[in-house]
Amino acid sequence: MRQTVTSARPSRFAHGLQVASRALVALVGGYLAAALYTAAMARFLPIARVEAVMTGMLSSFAIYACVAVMAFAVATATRAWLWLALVCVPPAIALYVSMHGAGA
Amino acid sequence: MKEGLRQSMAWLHTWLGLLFGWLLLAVFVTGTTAYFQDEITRWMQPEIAGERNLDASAEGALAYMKAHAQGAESWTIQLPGRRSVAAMGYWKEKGETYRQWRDHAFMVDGRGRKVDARDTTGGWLLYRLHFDLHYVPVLWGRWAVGLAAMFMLVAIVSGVITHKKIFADFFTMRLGKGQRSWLDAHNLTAVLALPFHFMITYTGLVTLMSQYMPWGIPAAYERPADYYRDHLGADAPPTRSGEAAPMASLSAMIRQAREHWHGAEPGFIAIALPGDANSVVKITQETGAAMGTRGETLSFDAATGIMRRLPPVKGGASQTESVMVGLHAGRFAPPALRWLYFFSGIVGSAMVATGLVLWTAKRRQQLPDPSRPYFGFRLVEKLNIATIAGLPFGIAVYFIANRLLPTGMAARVAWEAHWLFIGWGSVMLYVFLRPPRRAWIESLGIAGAAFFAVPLVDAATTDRGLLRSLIAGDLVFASFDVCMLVTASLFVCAAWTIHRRPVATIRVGRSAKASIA
Amino acid sequence: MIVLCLLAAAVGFTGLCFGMPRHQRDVLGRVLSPFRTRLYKTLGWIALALSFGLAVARDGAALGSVYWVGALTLAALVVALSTTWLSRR
Repeated sequence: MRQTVTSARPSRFAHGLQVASRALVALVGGYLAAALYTAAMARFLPIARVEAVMTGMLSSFAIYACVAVMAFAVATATRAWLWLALVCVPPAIALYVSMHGAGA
Repeated sequence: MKEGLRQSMAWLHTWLGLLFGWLLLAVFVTGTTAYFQDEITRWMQPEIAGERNLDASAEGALAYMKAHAQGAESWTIQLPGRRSVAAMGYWKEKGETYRQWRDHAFMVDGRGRKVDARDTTGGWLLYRLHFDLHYVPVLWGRWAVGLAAMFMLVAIVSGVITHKKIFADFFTMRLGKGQRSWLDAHNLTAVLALPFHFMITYTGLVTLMSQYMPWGIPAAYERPADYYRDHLGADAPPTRSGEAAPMASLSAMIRQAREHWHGAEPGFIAIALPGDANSVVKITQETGAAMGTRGETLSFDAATGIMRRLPPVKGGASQTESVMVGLHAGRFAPPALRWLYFFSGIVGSAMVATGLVLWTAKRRQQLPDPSRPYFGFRLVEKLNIATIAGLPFGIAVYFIANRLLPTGMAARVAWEAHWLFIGWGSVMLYVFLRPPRRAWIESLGIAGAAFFAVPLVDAATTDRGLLRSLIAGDLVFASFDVCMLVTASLFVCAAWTIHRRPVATIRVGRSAKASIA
Repeated sequence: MIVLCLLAAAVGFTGLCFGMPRHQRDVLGRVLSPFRTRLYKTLGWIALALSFGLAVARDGAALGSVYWVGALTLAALVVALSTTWLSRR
């Protein structure tokens, strides 16, 4: 498992913490990202509503899988969280603005 | 960099595989049997014989309900698919929920006559086990299976990234070499059917995606009901007019439907407010008519028999969903392809099983004291045996219970299912009480014996035993019994192979064929 | 046609298998010349493509593809088990 080594040998606790952190990104963060992109696709794709909703749902699992793999592929757990934020923020903002902003 | 990625993917793959391995094995095994659920159901209702005849069954079911279910809210006829014989009819009285449909269910054979067959869920139970599990609320079961499927998807991706020399080692399997053999068997079964595994996992998630990932609906629709209306094309249900009006010819409506579908068969008929002037007949295409399994539904005015406005044509995404679900369920598959699906499912089950055994094989070598492994190791080892031998044993017991439980008994359907789990549970209990090597040999042997018993019990309790079926040319019944015998021999072979291995090299080199349970 | 498709797939995988020095060593006991290695590999891919063509010709693009993947699985298993058995002798 790659991780930043701050001392000569990371303790088992520190290692466990890293794993748990990444697991959180993968499991919960992955679902969050998938849900956000599903919603965004449903709302913003310029096709019939029912089709947009379907497209979003169909692609959601691919997004989930990508985030999950990313969580364990990047160098540190912190980087995993950063990437997760990078991925989640754009659809989150777009959805928020669309649903609450601009005179809605 | 690359080494680190491979290692972290390998780590991810191992832990995901282990955490959900047993559930995934159950999902794979039941799913594989479900490809023949229609045949299994037929075997489990030996009272029903003869050929399939859609029109006769439909008319027969209709006639029965006209005689026994006047005034009901709805009549439903589930027509037999290409691999079934009998139609099932049921009705719903005013005030009832759909859960009570079983109280009013009956079967009609190819001659249009009602048959009294033993009450059973048949192969359909194994199909439902595959994603609903049992004894838990359906939604929980589906969440658990969905999570397992998601883990599997990530396991596949991480497995591919890790096995970068994916094709270099492809064609050999080193047998008889302990951990190395298990790794080879796991790689082979995984890579062999990799397109199938990836497809089945992703499409499996898609079949229940409206439960797992519904967030698109509130994002695009203010009222969820509008989405379902757009998606399913549902019109408002008819309201009772109070005027009686006899139904026009159902056969004529079926004929119209067939013409519209260029020969494809109907699978499902739902009649709302039968006997009323506003009654509507809905005929849905059978799920196996095309690769896209979501068949079209045509609506007819019941009193006049005239087809109503056609449903809208499905868009690309909806058609994709329909094809994805169709690929997963394989209802469209003709016999040769169906056996390929079944075979791929067996390979998938073998992949999961070899993966689970690999976990212990690999760590056995690292044990400081092989005769006293740590708790986690012992637990995994025992659960492996309990699942790999126990679940098949449970399925064999389910078949035997179908033959032995009295036909008139109360809650027969529930009890057949209970026996599956009683069988599985017994093996699980037994395994935890025995030392590992004996547990493997004995439980595999017991499973083999149970499968061997199925055709014996069949011949003893019905008039459709193996010999009679062969003589009569009854392919379905004969094949089922033969498959039981083949499965029995595979299990017995496996048990024997382990028995013959010298104790010093425990669990080394079970032949790959035997591990494909 | 199904048999031809399966056969072509099996030939294809055999070609690919013998297009790898490692398997040549396992089964034949020696490594073949680079030319023959490449030849077998190329023939293998061609046979696989032929197998795909046969499947699609019989059942159309959608159903044919599904059949083809199934045929690949079956053929690969047969070739892999044969190679394993042959290399043990």
